[in-house]
Amino acid sequence: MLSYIVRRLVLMIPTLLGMTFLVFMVMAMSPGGIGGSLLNELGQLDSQQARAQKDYYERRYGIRDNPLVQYGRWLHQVSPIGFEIDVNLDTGERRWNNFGFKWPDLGRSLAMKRQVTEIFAEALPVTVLLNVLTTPIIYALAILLGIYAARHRGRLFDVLSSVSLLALWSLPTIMVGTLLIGFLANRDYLPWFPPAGLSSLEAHNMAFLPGWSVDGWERGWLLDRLWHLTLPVVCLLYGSFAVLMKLMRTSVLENLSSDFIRTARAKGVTEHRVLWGHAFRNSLLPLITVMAGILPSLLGGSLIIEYIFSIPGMGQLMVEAIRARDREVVLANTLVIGLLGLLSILIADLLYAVADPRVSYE
Amino acid sequence: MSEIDALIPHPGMPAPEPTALVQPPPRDQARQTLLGMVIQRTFANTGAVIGIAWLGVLAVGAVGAPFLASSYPLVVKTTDGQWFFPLFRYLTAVDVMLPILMILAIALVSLRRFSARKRVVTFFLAGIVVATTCLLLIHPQRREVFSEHRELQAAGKVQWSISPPVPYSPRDRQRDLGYPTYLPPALGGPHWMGTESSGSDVFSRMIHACRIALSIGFIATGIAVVIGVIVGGLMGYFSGVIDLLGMRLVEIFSAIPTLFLLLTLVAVMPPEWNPYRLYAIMVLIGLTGWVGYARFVRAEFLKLRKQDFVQAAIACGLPLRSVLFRHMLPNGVAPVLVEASFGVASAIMFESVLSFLGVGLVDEPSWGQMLGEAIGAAGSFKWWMAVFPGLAIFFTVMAYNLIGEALRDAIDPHSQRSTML
Amino acid sequence: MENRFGFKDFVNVVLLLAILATMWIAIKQFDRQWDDIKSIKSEVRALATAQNQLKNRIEDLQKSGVTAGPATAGAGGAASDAPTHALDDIRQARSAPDFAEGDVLVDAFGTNVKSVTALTYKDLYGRTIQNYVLESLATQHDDTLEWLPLIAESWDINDNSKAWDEYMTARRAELTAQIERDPTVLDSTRLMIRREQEKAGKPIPDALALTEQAREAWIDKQIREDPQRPPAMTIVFRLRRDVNFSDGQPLTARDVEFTWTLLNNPLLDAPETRNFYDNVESYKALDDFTMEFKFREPHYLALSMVAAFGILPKHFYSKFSIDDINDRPGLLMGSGAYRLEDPVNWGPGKLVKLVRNENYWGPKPGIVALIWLEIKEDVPRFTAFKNGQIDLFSATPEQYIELRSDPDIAAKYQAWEYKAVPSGYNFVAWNLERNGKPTHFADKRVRQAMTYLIDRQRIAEQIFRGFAQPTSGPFDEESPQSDATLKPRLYDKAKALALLAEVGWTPGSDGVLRNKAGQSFAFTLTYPSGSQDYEQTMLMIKDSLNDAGILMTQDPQDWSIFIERVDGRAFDACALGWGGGAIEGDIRQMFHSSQIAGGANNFTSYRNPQLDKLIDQARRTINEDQRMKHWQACHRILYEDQPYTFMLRRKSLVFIDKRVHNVRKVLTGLSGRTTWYVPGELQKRRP
Repeated sequence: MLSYIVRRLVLMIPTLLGMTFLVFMVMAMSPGGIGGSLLNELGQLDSQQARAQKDYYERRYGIRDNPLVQYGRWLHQVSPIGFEIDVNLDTGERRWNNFGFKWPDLGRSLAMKRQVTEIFAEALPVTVLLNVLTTPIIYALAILLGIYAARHRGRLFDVLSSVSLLALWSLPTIMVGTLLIGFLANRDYLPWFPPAGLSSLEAHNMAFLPGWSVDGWERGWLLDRLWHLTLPVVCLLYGSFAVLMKLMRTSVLENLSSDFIRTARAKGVTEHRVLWGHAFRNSLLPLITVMAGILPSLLGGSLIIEYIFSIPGMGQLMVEAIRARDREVVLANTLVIGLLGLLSILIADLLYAVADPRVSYE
Repeated sequence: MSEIDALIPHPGMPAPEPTALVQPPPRDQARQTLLGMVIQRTFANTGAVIGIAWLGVLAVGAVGAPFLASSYPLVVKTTDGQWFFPLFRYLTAVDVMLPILMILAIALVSLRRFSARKRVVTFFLAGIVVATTCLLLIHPQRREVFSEHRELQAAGKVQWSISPPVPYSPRDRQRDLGYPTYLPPALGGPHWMGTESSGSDVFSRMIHACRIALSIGFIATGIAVVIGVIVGGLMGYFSGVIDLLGMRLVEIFSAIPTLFLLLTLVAVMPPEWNPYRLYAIMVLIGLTGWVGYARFVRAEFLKLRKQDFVQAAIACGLPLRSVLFRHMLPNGVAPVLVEASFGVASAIMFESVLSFLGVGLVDEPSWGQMLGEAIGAAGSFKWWMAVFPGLAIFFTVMAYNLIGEALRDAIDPHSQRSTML
Repeated sequence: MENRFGFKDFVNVVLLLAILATMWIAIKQFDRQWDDIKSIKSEVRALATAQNQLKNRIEDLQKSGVTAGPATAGAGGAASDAPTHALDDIRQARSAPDFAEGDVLVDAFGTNVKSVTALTYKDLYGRTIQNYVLESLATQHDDTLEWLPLIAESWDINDNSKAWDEYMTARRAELTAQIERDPTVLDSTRLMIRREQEKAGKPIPDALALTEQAREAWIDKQIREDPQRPPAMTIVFRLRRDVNFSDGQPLTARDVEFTWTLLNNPLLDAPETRNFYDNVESYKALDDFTMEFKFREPHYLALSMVAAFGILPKHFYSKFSIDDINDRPGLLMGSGAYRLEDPVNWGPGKLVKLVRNENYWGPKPGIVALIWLEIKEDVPRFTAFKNGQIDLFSATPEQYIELRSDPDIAAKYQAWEYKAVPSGYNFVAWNLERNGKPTHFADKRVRQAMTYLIDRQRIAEQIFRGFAQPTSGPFDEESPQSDATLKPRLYDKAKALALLAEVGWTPGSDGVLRNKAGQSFAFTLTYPSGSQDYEQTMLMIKDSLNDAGILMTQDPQDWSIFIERVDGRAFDACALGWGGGAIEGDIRQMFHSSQIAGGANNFTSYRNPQLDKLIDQARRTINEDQRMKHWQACHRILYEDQPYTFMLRRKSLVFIDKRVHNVRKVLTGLSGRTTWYVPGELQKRRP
């Protein structure tokens, strides 16, 4: 098992290299180029001054060099082994000293003038929170309703659900998000939910849990956060839910019609026990495999949702970084998202082995 | 659903690896029957019929857009007895070409006397002839004066005229009628679906957007399928090193969420491509979407490679091209068709998301772009800009998904078994 | 069977996870409370020290027998209302009968503030913060535009331009002669230019042009490096002796000198600012309270360059390395009326809050704290405003109209519509030369025709709802720089077509204008993407040009690409806006022919020798009346030549909470926030 994991981890390296190389070259070849984000944001193009600034950065970050060299430099920067580098700002010369282990460095965002790690430390928890909230809900709902539909095969609920699941799956997120904000978070219609953000402005001064304070009822920080997350989570979950529920239903049906269930029934095991004791666990297998695909796609999906609901997570960060041609952030984002994606595939494979004793990776 | 990447199997697709398909039947005559059977079974599915019907509506909208929604009347008779045909002055080569090709296609489909191959060949030959003549002969008037007819009418110079059912062009911002931005829809009024942020008619833009949506869906998926089949086929046939390298490539593309990659590519597109932005976006969606097809074809080919008829073909010394494309591909392509149907749906979704995010086409009617303008800067919500385009995207995606489901049921004996349970 | 993962285990795991999550959130919450307590503690500490210092100061004053009071008050007496000191406006506010100290003003920024560190901040938001924390030697009064002393008591300007001129002519002649005697002196310069061009990947000019360039460069270098060269101007400031920074340390000329030394450190990440102040040749503290500046060239903005530059405390900034100042986002301390709560540790993501400087050496403002919330999206900002969470709100025309008619808003807020005098303007720039060849727009009649065809009146009314007006040139209509007799060319299709016909553009059979070569009149208009206003305006231009038979293609580009195209002159026409900038705007960078080469800001490649001369003259003229005459002549030439179609000047539309008093409309916009106050009974927020 261990050797399998190690082999998979090693195989990830070329994939990650390929991904970042692809993205790096695309950005390097684009007009506006890597240096595009260096210009000031004032919207006034004082070219002479902007140029002075560009020159400064070009020397500091070596932006005028061959893209391949720059990519190599970036790789060196994120790799855990390498040299210490001294840059002479006047000449742009680099000196390489002391080969050895070092901390991988995601670099410094040129447009935001901050360490990328620092930016990620703010954005990643937001996206992870969204997904951590969503995934269990999706799974719980999909499993329960899937079983229900399978048990009541051909009845009204099942028929209705199979049509509506396809519809649910086809619903464009951009439409659902827009409609939810438009009708449920709008003072012209129903102002039930906040239109944007993660918490209210005054959440800063709220107690954690809801309760009565001097000014009367106060919803508290937690409830406020949940209130803000309701619509985004709804948007994020319905699509994957449709897939999973359908999958669950099919898989329960398949299991219920298989031989070992027939044997169990023949032995006189109760229907309840057949379902929960025998069929349930086997039916979960396909859902585990799918989890690998769900993670990266949820991350991608949060891009749209974060954009619509103005949630400052990784998706919004990525959109901004791409618009500003902020090389370091885009690359680091690709690296992190890619790594998460690959890891989730690996974890799903391992889970599969854990759940299904027939599968072995020895 | 756009968050669902190609990675996730589609509803009802239980295992990540495609299941074995129909055993390779004796070639030639069996292929016909398989195709016929598939078509027959697909048409027996109510969902698929509804989906096809909706696509038919869209196709009519896409092909006949200038005749359905345009500020220029078809015929005008002025009070001094002159006849004008304003619409025809503005028709582009594509506007003329599409209806001719559509009529041709319908005619050929109904001509059952000839073999399918003959009909397809005729269609392509005729298509090339029609396209070149149209492109060579048709030069529309480029200066567009949308208010022309309205001004004539106001001056009382029009005796009678026939206008398209929606008398507004998608880019007619009605400068002569004030600045009618964000008019709410009024059934029976001038703007059935209201107007958008710059004053053009939403209904007209909806109709003209069909063309973009449909063409992006088809062409992007076409590109993705071609790349996927070639890469997947090579990987499956040769396996070994090529397979290993190919799988890394597949992994690279499937580990980055497609939307991230697409957004990066579109955003950094050289501005010189802007006149061809539509095609560039099609190609980019195609380039990012081939992974799923490659996986399927690879898995199929890995299985087919070991089978006797392929081994026989190789033993006969047939060239690689022939082995791959004449013998293996027809037997391994079925799941790709199913996949492609879902692929069209997701390509349409991606285009609308790009337009929604504001990196799509410029001054071209698009559903996603209208949806993106539904919530104004002041927080005012123009529901008609969200509901109509949103539903159009939804119905179209749903239609393709229904067809895909039906195709899968028709092709895949495994899922049939589960349906028959 | 026993060790299988059953449903019960599943529930258990879920429960466990839930407990863990709750614990984590609880910890997070404790953390936040702890942060709050920490900040309260540091505040209390700061207050205590402030109190101590105040006590000391009062004691000092009592000892020396002087009563506390404004130093220059009474100088003008009651006879004249005109302020004689920059802080007189605050004094006046304080003398109002309902004046009270207290309350907090909450504003919102549309983005996250990235850095507020002095000199290295990069955006408008950083600059806004600087204005409250740093003080300069003198400031321009916001209504009279007169320079009033602030940290300086007085100053002397020594205009040495005559001697400088003489030196320059003589030296130039001398150097030219030297080159003629020995052309080899240029060799190294020539080589350098060649190398630089190669490095930048640009084509190398032919031998003749290269020699010409090298000669200019060499002469400039010799003159620049000549120690004998007299300064073009000298300004000497005498500083007040009672000014101190917010930590109580006195402000002296050494701090002023330090500020300029820091700016001119090549390692400091402020190259664009450094470049802007290049004209300041030397800065020297003559003694603790006298500061001398010398200038390389005579320039009308010389005084404002040095007088308006914020002074940094030497004892504070010298504690940090250059890398620290470059990289840390929150290093900001000054002598201004407000200060950062913590001058060292502010960082992005933390609340942008300025508190009143209780050590302030001048009269203290009424508002005790200024807060800027960071709300990126329009809709939430709007909601926050409607809920009374923010006290100031800049509205779009659409929002303004909607809000003004809302009785709730009218009861709670005062609405201000104003056009600040150094107002910015939008324009469409016509590229006269592309790839070395003249374009359609090379003829000024075509450019005039384009201006006639763009219906600016209508754009102002329909897109900006009347809160904008067409402009005739680069200078504000209300500024003395502009020639008031010039009226913007309004929409006139007939005139435009006549002008175009003169040049040879006549309508073809399809209605599109064609020239004699049969080319149709088509061009691409490049503009920054992402703004609804731009998008709508471009559509409006496109439609009205189309109506006249000119085919325009829209080309929205991201800002970074847009700049690249403008720098490379790779566009037919582009739309952009210039910000207000200095109160007396300088048009050299946009229209002087010396600014064409090397990606400088005359990106239309517009040349007019007469205008060049006028601009140079105006910039060198220190006498205001004469200078205005030159500027007006420039305006007339630009009006005739139309290298840009000058589009619109927009009005600012601002809502301010009614409880805030003493908000006045002044020439440069609204009166400063230091003069605003909230009467006691209306106060709403506790600091």
